[in-house]
Amino acid sequence: MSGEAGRREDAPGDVVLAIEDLTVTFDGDPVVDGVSAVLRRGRVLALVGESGSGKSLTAMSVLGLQPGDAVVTGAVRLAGEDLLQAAPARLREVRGGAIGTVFQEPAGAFDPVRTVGSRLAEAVQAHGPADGLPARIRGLLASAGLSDPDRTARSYPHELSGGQLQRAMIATAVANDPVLLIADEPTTALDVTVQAQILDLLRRLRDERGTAVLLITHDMGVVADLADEVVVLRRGRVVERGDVRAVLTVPQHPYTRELLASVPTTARTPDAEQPEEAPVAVLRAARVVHRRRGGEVRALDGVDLGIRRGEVVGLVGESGSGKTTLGRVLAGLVPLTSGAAEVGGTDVGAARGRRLRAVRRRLGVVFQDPASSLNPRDTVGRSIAEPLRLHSAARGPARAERVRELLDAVRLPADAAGRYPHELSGGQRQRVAIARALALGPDLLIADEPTSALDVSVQAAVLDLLEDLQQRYGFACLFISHDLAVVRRLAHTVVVLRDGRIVEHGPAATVLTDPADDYTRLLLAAAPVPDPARQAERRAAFQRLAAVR
Amino acid sequence: MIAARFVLGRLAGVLLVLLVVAAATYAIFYLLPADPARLSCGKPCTPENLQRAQQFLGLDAPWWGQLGQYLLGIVAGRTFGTGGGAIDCPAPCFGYSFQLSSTVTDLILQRLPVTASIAVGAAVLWFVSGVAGGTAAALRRGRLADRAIMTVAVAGVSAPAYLVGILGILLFGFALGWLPTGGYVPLTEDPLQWLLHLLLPWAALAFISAAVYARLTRAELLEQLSLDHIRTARAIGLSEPAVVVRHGLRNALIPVVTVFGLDLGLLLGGAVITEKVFSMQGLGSLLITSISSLDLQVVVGITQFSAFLVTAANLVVDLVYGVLDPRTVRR
Amino acid sequence: MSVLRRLLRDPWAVVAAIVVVLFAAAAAAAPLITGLTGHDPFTYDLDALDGTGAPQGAFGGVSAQHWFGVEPLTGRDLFAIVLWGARTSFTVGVLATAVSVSLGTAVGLIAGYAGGWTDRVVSRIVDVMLGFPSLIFMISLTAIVAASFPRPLLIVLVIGFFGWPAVARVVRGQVLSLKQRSFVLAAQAMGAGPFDVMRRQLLPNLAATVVVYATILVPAAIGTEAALSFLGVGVPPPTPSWGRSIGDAISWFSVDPAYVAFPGGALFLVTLAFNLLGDGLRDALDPRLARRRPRSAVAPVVEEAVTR
Repeated sequence: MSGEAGRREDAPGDVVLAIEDLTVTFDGDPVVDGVSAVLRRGRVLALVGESGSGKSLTAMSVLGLQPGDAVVTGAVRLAGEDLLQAAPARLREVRGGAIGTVFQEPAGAFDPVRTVGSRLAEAVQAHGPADGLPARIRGLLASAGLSDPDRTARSYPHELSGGQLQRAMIATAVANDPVLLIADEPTTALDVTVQAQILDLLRRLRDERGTAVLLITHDMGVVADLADEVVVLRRGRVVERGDVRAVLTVPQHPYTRELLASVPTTARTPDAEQPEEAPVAVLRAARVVHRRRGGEVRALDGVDLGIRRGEVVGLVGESGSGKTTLGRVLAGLVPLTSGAAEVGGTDVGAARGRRLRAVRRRLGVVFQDPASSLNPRDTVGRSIAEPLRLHSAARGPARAERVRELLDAVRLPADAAGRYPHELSGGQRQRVAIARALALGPDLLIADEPTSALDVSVQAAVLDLLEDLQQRYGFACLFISHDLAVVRRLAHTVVVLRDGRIVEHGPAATVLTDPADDYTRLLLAAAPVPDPARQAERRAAFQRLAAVR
Repeated sequence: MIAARFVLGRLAGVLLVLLVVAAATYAIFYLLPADPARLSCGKPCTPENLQRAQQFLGLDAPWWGQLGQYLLGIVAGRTFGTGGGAIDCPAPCFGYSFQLSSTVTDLILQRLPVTASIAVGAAVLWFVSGVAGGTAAALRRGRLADRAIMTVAVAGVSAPAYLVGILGILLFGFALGWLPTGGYVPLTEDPLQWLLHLLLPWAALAFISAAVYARLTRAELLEQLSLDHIRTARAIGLSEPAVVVRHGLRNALIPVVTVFGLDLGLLLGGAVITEKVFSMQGLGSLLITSISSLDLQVVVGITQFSAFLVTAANLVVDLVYGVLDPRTVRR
Repeated sequence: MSVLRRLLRDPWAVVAAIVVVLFAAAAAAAPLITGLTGHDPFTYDLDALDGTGAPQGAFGGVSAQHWFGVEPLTGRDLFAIVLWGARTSFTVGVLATAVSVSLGTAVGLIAGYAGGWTDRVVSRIVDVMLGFPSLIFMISLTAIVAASFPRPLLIVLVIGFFGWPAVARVVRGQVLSLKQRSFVLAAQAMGAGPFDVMRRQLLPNLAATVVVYATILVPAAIGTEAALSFLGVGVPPPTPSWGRSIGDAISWFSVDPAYVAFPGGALFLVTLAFNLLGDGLRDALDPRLARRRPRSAVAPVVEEAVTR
């Protein structure tokens, strides 16, 4: 800790890259508008913004990899040389040479039909003699923290996990000792524990090799964890810049303040009444086993759970933990291998025909992806009326009236009923999905990552809405999320799921502040907070816990 | 180990398909018609040929007995009839023509070189020119060359082989006199004449498919070039040819090869048509004459044989696919 | 509405649509038109021929009387033959496509939605049938069907039957990807039954694909009918057919090269128009579709399934 603070007080390192008045236009519309930034040796500069802020486009323009119809002006000086004026051959030398790049989706970043090792070999061979190539590849993969570098090198991308691939991509990016590393949302597609490890790896590169890092992210927690300086972008313009502590603790610009305020940090105040009635939804010794070639996968492995009326249960877990399966079991979409799943006293697994329909009337679901949550061929009104059509006698004016009520409840204008999904924003579509889920006044709402695909400011509004609706209607809610901050915002009770088993279950306040289980502690420590000092403590805690494991 | 399991799996699949196809073919052509013996007898149908046909087909046996004999004949050969009039039909036995007094297998083998010459040459020509044209168009997207190639491709897609063939004969055969207007010269007899006689058939048969493959290759390559892994390849400083060929085209070829496998059946159909245009005596002309002379044994034999040929060729394509796309092998 | 507007902005598609409509109208009104010209496609006119059976006059006997010339050996009016040939082509093309599309959509929808072993078995059958030498099978089938069975109906059924696997494959692929979309899951969770999900959620989203596919299947079916007739196993004479005229023209090459031009030109023009219209429709219905993999990988297979 002290070492880091000490390093920061050192005289600023040499300037590695200077972006000067960079402007990128499409058809005359500026998408990046006069952005300037300076990157120094051994420092991390974070470019922060929501979708459409132009942050990724800025980074791609540095490498000359912007889309073909973009017009780039300004200057990008690498050790004084303007890359915007460089010849294609010189740019190729720089790419993967002086500047290494790490992208967001590690699964898509590798050629699917070639081994990971061949990608590294290409990276080395493109920039000079490749003496002792196998040994070099092994060394690079090992230094990126891959425990079995030989096996990794022989593997095809589909045989590796996201975290392993991201390590391999970092190994590729640093293959030729770059002075600058561009990391474009390097951890967005990863689980929090993996994210913490990848951020550690990037920090180590900065400290050990003195590499400058241009970090592009939307996540203020990641910024707090890794960045030295911050540039906040909004619609292509810089709205604020400065030292990470200054920007995150005493933001000057209203937009930065809004961004920070949108990050869910406040815990939900526990409701006064503790409901004593029988639970609305129950899982008993629930098991779901998928048979695959060469064995079976236990998606759920003996889960017991009850959700009461008026209670929000936050279900937390990393990818592959079985949390989505659990939600789908309660929705009657995935059959149990053994055990029981009951909603309102009826077994959703065993019910057929009329009884199943009766159960389904009593639950509503909201799924993650706003792009696909609504039928693109149906108007908003038709989508919301779908459950009414299936289950209630209301038709004609009565149905239209109910649709209006629901639109009003999710704070959308009445004329939205005639629109098609592609005319709405992501947040608006999720509101429509919520309205549809509430159409029949359900006893149970299952919300599977309803805000994960949204920008933070939109996410905050949707979470507010959900809390408000839940208080007003008092339905039971299973709220599934990988994001602890979001769960903290909404849940009374938290359930932590890992490999299909519940590792911890209790009141939100207890589980999220004083967890009993090691894995919960690790998860908590891995989730970054947008405050550099507090994040440093968390990081230290994570490193301790990870070392013990 | 993994690769061996992949190959064996595909092999087993192919054998199963062959069995089902053979059984279905037999059922359709011998069990459905009211009087298969008469259809096998030939035109004109002499009473003794009809009697032989009835006896040979084993029509007095139950249907499963007939089917069993038929399938066994393909694998192990069979003997038609008994006593002095018995005819031996060695494996693979696809039937016996009473009219031509020859096993169908022999008839097919006599004609096969013609059809194979047309089909293989045309397939090579269309695959190579299609992929090359599509790649060129994709790399010059939106420019004149792209539009020119795609315009020819759209026209090509709509031009049946017999029209292209007829135009070719009129132009290069009659008007210019550069190439023969039809006929076939065996490769063993005169390689140069073989080639000259085949140039027009190849071009006629390949034209339409080359157009299809150009469109397909262009679309797939453009799609590949828009993917993340191409951006990463550029970001590590690879040269543009390396990016396009090693990562773009390599991946774009996977669906193209899939379509190629499916097109082998069309290839045989196309060859039949091409034979007629260029008056070549291949399998197709044998099939057509057998239909008009009512020789069901030959008709079914050719159908069965071409189904087998395509299935076997598909196995090869499948294995190539396994090499191109390791994900299918190492799952 | 916006689909139509987008289609109208594509000049090639507009021209193609006009050509298709013109041919369709001409085919429908063929008896009327030949009634006006006074030449039906069945009446011999040996006076129009010279001693060898070739048409008298230039370009296969083109004259004010016979706009496209006359058929060698018979002297029948070629204009009437081409016009009535369009009737044959369009009838067979449209009916066969209807068979393929309805079979293919139903099978693809059920296989994709049911999943599991139903899907595996159906997909295997589709794969085998797609790779099959179907033209050879069709030719052979004409040998065993009783002469009393109406030939044109047989042609329609046979072509339609070999066309469905391609449709089923594409529809199944679309259904598989739609099934993953949240709105389908949501509908299931709301209690919509399989039939309801297929009708309300899946079919409306498949409509674009199916329409585009149908547009490319029609010329493929027309081409197959022409190919069968060209080989002499298609619709029986004297029913006019472009394919048979082209087949007959081969033996008249050296004497009467113009004979092939009119039926051949008509076949090429109609096929081209349908293909261009299909391309335009695909882009207009869903601009994103044009770039999507499943369709680009498979469309051309049917597109030219049998036109060669």
